[in-house]
Amino acid sequence: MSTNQVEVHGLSKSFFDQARGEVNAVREVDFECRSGEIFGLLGANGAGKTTTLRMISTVLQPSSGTARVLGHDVVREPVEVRRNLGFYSASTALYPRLTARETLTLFARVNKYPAERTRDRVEEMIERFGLGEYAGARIEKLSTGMKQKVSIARTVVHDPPVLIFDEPTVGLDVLNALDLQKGIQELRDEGKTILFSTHIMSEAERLCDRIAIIDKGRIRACDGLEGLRAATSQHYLEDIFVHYVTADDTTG
Amino acid sequence: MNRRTVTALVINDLRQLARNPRVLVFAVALPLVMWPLMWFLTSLTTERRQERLESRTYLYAVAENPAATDGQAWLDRALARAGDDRSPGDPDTADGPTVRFERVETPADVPAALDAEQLHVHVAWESGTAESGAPLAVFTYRADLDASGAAEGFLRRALQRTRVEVRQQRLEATGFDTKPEDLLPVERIETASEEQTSGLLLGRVLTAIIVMMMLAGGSIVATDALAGEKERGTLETLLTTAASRVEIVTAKNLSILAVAFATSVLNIANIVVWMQLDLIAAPAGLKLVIPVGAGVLLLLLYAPAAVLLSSSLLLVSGRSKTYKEAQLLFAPVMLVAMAVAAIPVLPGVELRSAIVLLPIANLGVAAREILTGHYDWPLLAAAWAVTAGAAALLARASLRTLSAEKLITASDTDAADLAGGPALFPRRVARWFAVLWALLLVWQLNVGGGIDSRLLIVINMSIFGAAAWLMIARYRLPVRETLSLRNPPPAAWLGVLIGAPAGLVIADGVVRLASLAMPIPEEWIEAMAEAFGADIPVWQMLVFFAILPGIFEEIAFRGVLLHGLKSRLRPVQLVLVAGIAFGFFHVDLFRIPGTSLLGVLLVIAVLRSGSIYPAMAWHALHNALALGSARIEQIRLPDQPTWWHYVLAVLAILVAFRLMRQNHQGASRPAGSGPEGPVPGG
Amino acid sequence: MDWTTIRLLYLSELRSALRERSVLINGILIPLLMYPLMMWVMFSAILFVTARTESFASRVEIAGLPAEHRGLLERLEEEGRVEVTEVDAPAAGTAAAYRAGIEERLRASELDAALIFEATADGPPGNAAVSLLSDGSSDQSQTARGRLERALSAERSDWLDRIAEQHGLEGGEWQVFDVESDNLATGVEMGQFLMGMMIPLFFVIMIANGCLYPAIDSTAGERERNTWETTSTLATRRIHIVAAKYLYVATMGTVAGALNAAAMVVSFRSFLGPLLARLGDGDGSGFAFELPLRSLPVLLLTAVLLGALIGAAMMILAAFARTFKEGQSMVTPLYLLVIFPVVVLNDPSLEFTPPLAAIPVVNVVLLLRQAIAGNLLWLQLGITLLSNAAAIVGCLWLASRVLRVEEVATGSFEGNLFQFLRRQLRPAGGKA
Repeated sequence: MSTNQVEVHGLSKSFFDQARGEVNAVREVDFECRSGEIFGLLGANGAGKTTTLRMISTVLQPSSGTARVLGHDVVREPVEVRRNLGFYSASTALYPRLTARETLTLFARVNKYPAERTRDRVEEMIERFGLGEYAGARIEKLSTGMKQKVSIARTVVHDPPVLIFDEPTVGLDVLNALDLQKGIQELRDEGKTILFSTHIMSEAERLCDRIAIIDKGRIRACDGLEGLRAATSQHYLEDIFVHYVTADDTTG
Repeated sequence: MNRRTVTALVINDLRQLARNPRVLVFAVALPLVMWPLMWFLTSLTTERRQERLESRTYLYAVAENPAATDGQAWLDRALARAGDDRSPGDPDTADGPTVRFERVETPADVPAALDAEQLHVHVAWESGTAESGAPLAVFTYRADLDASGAAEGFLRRALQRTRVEVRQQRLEATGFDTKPEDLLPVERIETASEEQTSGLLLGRVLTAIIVMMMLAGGSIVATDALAGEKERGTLETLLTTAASRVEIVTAKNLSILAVAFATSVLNIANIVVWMQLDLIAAPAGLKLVIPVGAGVLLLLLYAPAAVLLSSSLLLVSGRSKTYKEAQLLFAPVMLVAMAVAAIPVLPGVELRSAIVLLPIANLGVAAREILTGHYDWPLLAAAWAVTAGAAALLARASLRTLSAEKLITASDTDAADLAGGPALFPRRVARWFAVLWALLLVWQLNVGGGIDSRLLIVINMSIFGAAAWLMIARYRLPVRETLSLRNPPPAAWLGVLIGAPAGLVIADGVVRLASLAMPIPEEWIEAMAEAFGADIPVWQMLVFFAILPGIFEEIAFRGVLLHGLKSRLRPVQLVLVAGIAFGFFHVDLFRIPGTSLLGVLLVIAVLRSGSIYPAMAWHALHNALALGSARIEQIRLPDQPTWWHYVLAVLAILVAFRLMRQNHQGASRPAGSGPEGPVPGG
Repeated sequence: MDWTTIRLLYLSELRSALRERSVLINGILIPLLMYPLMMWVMFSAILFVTARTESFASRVEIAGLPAEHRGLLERLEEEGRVEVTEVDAPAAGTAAAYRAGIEERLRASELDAALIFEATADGPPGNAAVSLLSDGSSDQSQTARGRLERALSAERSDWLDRIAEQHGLEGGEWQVFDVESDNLATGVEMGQFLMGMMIPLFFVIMIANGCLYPAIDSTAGERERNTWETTSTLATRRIHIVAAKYLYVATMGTVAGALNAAAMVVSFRSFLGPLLARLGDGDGSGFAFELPLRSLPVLLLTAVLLGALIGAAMMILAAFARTFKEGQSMVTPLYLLVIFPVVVLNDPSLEFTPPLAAIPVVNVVLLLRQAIAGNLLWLQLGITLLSNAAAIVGCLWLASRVLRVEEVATGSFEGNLFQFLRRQLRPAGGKA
């Protein structure tokens, strides 16, 4: 088995969009995530981050190219892919009328976590994310921070080796965001492979082992932070980002 | 498919529903109380009205004249029993009147008194005006005033009963001692059992009721199932789990079915309880008892119908982005389903007919046949299979909505919507023609009948022409391309000459075929003959009924409509939709089949030849021939055509279309420069 | 009041409403098209059913028809499409077997109905006991039975006439007397009667329908779309915003009602008229569907009153909802509350008395019914106006009370109108 948990080759996606006609949201993207690393997709709004991640999570079908998660192709074995995947984003909401415990049980089951261990796993998650007191309350009654914890618990409850976080800190306050970043690091330390997208430079700088800069659907650079610094002779990630993005504008 | 996953999803759906008290109260509990209550109160109103009508005193007056003295005796006798509507031989006949009449002085102005309700009915006896020489009682009243109408009814019935009695007395006086009711006494013998007779009543409406209940119950969950989840953002959460799309759709379907089934059972039980409490009355002759065997069979039968309904609800929900949109789209689904489910109401529809191919309707007719005890297994199986097949197709379609990217990604409008112009037209064309149809319907039915048929044609054609022009202008459509204003291959004209008469023969066959299912009333044929009246000169007939429609209807239907639909439909669909739409524009039920066929043929003619001109010629020729055959003996269609007429006609049509096939090189060149003669074979 | 601002807001609400599919469909398209379409379908279906029933060929067997009653066959011929097989009366011993055979053929649908005449000693010569056999579970058989019954009863009455003639009873003496009815109501009056029964009912339903979406959309919908905050930060007083919204809701209700009434009159004329003419062929009194001109102001007035009243009531209820869906469930009871009495009181024998004129909504229906029939009852009109105006003012007062409460206005209040009222009515000390 390869050490690359996620492999993406020549992945492209085009669809119609308002006023722009046919849009190539993602163009021939290549990258791979290695086991136990945090891989960051860094890009401005509309650069194609979410579309790429949605293709990897099989919500969208690629127009061309392939993506594999643990060797499973996203087009041919979507269920296997999703089983090994936890997907978290601002648009993956929770059922407001379920309790936290019910939510975790539901997602453990639906994600085909072994039946006999589901109960214990759910309790483990409740304890780990500090949901104890609130586990029996309906999600609609919880605060934003609590909801977010349930959401992460929901993402990892079936113990997937690969986790995708699509702009996870959007809409969170500083403390909640830091909390979340800490959580992600912990997950990495447990050996999970994490694919992480953001448009916030500091976040990428702090968290990511390797960063891919994506702009207008293309990957402009992909390396560790040091590598990127060396290649552009800039120190701050912001400058590095601007370097790659404006470089494209001049080349057309 | 994983059972555990599906169960988990279903439980999730049901749990959420159970925690939504508002939905439970308004969608489940309220209808449970409301419908029987409405029914109860309405029947109470009717009863109260009856009571009020029977308990009041009616005012009547009798005109003073010599004949009135004779008449008064009969009138008194009738009034003594007014309101008792039982037959004279009935032993239960009441002793006194159940309705009181009070005589008042004849007012000076009877109509005014009637209008002011100072008088309810006025009786005038006239002698010797009737044919038989008997006195005549003339009741003057006002049918639009409730009391007056009722008074006239009570009095007339009472007087007629009196006449029967007087006759009998006079006959007895001559020595004839047989009572009239003993002449040719009839005993009615019913060969069907009570269950079967009641089964016919029940069978007519059962499917419609069940479909309505299932839809009402199912929609509670269905709106939430995909549309609601989309709105709340939970659908994407669900889509990123390891549940396969099939599992999700199955689970959603099961949830809809479970709730639909539960609410239907609740509703039926509720109605039965109300009936048991005698608060609402069951229709006369209806016994709510279904034999166990038939019940089991019905349950089996309705299973695919239930899946079909839940799948269609799910499909609608899946195609909507919000809860609100889903709700709006449910209405047409309900209308269509109810229309189809009401088909068993039609008398004499048998499963052994084309109906077996219509989902839901076939099961409705099958249910009726089961309840009346006349059914055969092969057709039951066929009906079941057809509906089950349709259900499977719909389920697959709803599966596809889960991967419809338009609904997941943010881009909800296409470029065409913003840009406008020709690209937008294909989406709007249906809307335009729907409005046009409604306009034509209102106009034609309101005013249309009363005016000269030539004027009618002119106005109709201007409506079509104006609508076509409006659409072309509004969407800046290229005129030449939209209306297919191109030179056709020369052989196409020959095709028209062959095709039009043959088309007329086939249309005649279609009308005959349709009249098997939908018999044409005699008076309709007369009315049609009158409309295309013989008193119009021949040249005018040709201009108004052949040439004008040939031009304007072609521009509207084979020009604009066809152009708009072309990019959205596959060829076969296109031909059928554009053709049948043309048929529906003839509004009249009995004209739709024939004109739809003409529409289909003309669409093919345009598509084959790439030009509208042959279709115009064909249409005009068709109309001219149809008119001619009605007026001229020599070219009339045979009354009893044989099968070879039709075979010949179909062959001729095929030849005609073959002749019309455009030569691609020739068609693109300017007129006259193309090669002469028919298109080489190939 | 700042009417310029209100007008501006009102027009912008109206403009956005006309671009909103659900408002457009419920407020304009359905009221306008539902009845013509429904009646077209009904008209076609009734034509279809009657033509179909008429087209059934009835296969009928008649056994032992006495010579005196050959006229029955002529009667059946007049009925049309009856195929009669005549057989002799079964011999003495085989009657039961013959009858069983007939029943068998009926069940197998080889025969639609049968008449068996058995001579009796009672009565004049030619009298016979008649058995009419049919299968009640078949439409064709029921049609055949109807045809036989009609022919038989006509033959019986003919026979009685013949007997009377033989006994010397003729002409006027046998006829005794004739009855003729003269309906003074014109076709127009009959049409008004019928319209008066039907139009007010649907009128109220359509106004409620027309108000429903705008009322929810402009309150709960705004919260759901998060445009409520944008609107409430406008540089105008909140009361102006609410007034504009209210005017918009009332307008939509009024428009829906007026459109619906117009569409109803049109569809009555084009479908119900011909249909009644076709069905009641014996009656002769043709219906003409024309609204009296002087009922138009009343119609318009009632549309405005109802639109204003129902709109206000719905907005109060919907003001407590945070989502469109919630708003819908909160408003539904009111919808029913309005429709219920209208359905229940739809009784032509009910007189429109002044006390009834004091009940809002109900009075409008009764007033409208009278107006359509061409009667203008001034006293009742006055009372109706007053009572509805009072109800509208009451609703508006309540609305201002409700919106004054910060929590409701910002949407953080959890609960509905009744919970709100309970909390408002609770003595202030109760909270402590």
